[in-house]
Amino acid sequence: MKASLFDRQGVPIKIGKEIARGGEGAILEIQGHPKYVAKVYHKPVFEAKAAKLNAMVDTKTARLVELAAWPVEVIQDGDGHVVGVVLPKILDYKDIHLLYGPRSRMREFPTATWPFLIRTAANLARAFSAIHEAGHVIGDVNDKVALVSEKSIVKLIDCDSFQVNADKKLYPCDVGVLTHQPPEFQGVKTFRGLRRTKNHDNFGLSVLIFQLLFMARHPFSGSYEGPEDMPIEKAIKEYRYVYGPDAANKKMKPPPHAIMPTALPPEMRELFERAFAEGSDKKMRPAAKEWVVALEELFSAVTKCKTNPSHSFILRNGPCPFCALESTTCSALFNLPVLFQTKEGRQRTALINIGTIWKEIRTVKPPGKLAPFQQMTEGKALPKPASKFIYYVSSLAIIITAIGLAHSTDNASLALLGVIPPLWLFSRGNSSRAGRSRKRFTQVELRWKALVSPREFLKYHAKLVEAKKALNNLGDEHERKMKDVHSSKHQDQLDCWLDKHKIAPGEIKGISSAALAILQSYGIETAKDLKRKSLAEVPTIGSARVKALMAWRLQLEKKFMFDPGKGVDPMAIASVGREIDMKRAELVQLLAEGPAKLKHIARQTHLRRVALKTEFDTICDTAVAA
Amino acid sequence: MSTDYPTFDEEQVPFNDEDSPFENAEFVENPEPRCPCVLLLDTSSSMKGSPIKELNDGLEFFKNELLEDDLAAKRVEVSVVAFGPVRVESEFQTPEFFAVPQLEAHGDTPMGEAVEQAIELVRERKETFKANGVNYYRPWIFLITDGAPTDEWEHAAQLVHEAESDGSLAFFSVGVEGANMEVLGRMSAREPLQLDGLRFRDLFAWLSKSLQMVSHSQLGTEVDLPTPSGWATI
Repeated sequence: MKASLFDRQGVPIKIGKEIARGGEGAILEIQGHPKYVAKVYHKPVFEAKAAKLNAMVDTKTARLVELAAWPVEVIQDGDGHVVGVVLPKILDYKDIHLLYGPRSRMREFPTATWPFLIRTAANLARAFSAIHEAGHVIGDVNDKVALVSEKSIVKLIDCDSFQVNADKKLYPCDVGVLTHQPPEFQGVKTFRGLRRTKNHDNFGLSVLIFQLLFMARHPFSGSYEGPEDMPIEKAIKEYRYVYGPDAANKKMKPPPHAIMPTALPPEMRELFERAFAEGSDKKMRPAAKEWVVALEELFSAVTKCKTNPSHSFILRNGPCPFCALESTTCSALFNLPVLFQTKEGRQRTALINIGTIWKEIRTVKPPGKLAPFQQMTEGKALPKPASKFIYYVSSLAIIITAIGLAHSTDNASLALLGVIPPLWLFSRGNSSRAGRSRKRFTQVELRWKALVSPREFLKYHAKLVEAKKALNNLGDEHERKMKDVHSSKHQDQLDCWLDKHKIAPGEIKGISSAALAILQSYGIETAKDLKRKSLAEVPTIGSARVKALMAWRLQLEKKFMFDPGKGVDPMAIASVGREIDMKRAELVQLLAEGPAKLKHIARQTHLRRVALKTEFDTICDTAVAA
Repeated sequence: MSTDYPTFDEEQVPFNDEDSPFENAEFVENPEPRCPCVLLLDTSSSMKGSPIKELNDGLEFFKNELLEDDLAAKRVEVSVVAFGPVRVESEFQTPEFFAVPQLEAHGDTPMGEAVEQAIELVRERKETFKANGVNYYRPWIFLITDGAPTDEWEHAAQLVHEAESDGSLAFFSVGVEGANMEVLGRMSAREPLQLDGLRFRDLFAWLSKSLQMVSHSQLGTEVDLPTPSGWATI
């Protein structure tokens, strides 16, 4: 900036270096004011716009500046022409579409979960609500209307396009991105001069909330059964809400592999229907405040998925929809932080996505099948095998002897074993060169056969498939274990009751201090420990005492009162949780190492085959030479 | 992995642990509306030497330019079809997954076949979008050539004109020095552009900028493209 710039009081504004450059203007640092930036427009600012910017500065409030890039001061040149504005600096916030798009989310917001998205949606609604309360309308709601922090705090940007209400005057919003504009605005020639309302904004807000909750899907984007194209704009204009009760009538179907609004509580589904249904232009669409309440309710209603804790969902609506989606499409929606043990024994948290890992595993090319050995030897001069008769007989003898050995330590078998192998070896060839080569050839044949199918690779791959299955079943396993914990509640309470009753000398017939001491030395101290089996191990106790002890226990059991209202032992619940967590960590670690190990095995198989082929060729060459 | 040993290709080990085609993941992870663009590149022998080198460098630059823009990176899909002979060098991919091919110059200039192939690719891609419930902008075909067709091209030209007139395609053509501008003029409904020297880089900068503008625009609206200054003469 060559020219000197001033605020409205004529105080000079010292511009620093450029931070960013957009279509409309450049964002620059202001020297001495690290919390603010200057937006200087590329083109001269017309009078109407200058008036709007001035009005915005006049109506600024602490709340507006906190949740939006609201102009706090106007920048003028020496002649008093408006050339830009001073805005609060927003550091380390990212475009909202980078959060709701699964792929960009994994990169830009690696730890964001569904609750994070829900909270962001609520914060977005809070920001809208504040703008509306101040009497303004956002107007141009779109995929870049807001920035989000890593703590899900939302800031609205491009405020100079808002419809500003100041001093009983409306400063219009002249633009709009149709994907987030309501049906009543589809097909308009221009947004210039159009009066925008909160109800218009509420449509765009509902679209953004939908995109945040449903993995970037647009509520009006789906499969259309008609012959013509169905762009989003047309679908909006014709109220073809893809997930609505009326969708089938309008020939609309949700896209394949979409998370369905049935994942929400019914009250919330209804909000979306109210926002997108026919007639919503006349009635009030859900207001920002209503969304805040509904979203916070949703936030508290979700439960972490036991199969994959990076997922959250509403338990009573059925199984985890994110598990289903990730596993049927091999897609990556959320990262799972997993604690790993490093080689040095330290613990390290890594962000894992099973979909991504699985995709990698699937891209490792398995080694193909090796051509059958017979095919290789066809028409080749090969070392002739020795007499087949002696070979087979001695081979058979070795096998029989070996079986015999496995079943006895019979000396005769041992003796046989000493005699037969030399015979077998003899049959494979004598010490001549041809014999050695035959022997080598047989070895090659055996190794070849072992390598025909990439057995090791397939085995390891099957192990990974098993691990993935086990991982997918962790939720069920957890449920099963919890059921066990609950069904054993009665027994646990009883055990607890019995354990409170210590065996005391004198109370039970025949139990003296001496007898008690013996019982204690066998670990029998309370009524809970009294079992016929354990008592049987105590010598000199005698059947009379056993009878008395068991009768005492039975008496206590009769007095026991089960309390169904009493919860399950929290320790038992925690222990089930820990067990599942450990199992998950193990399985995830196995899968995470999968791609590299598979590649290694494939490579090893390849190298072994190459070496074997070389050896085979050498033998063939030698045979030809001989 | 090279096969230094004989394998049975027809007996590859089946690897289907479950039915989960990858194509699904693509639109699940990124359901943004798509803006498909076929780069239809003449790689006939006359492109040998610096033209093909500049073209290859231009492609790399193009990818990086698109990656710079968050929204364009989610929406623009690039496919490369090279001709002489016609081959699909790269299927439609968002910039992130677009593997820039290393093109080599040889063969003749079957432009007619190439254009028809590009139109077919676009048609198939649209079907994929529809099947996955993903919206799309009007597809682009961007032809770059330094010669004249060595095959029958009138039918291809007719297809281009039809598609342009019903608004289902935007077909651009750029002639490198030596191109038959008259044929290009008849091939496309839009005025062909003449590349200034070998300024492929500037051309791709313009193309990336234009696609960014389209991908930020509203579906189904006409975008005022930037003027192709600095690299073309009309």
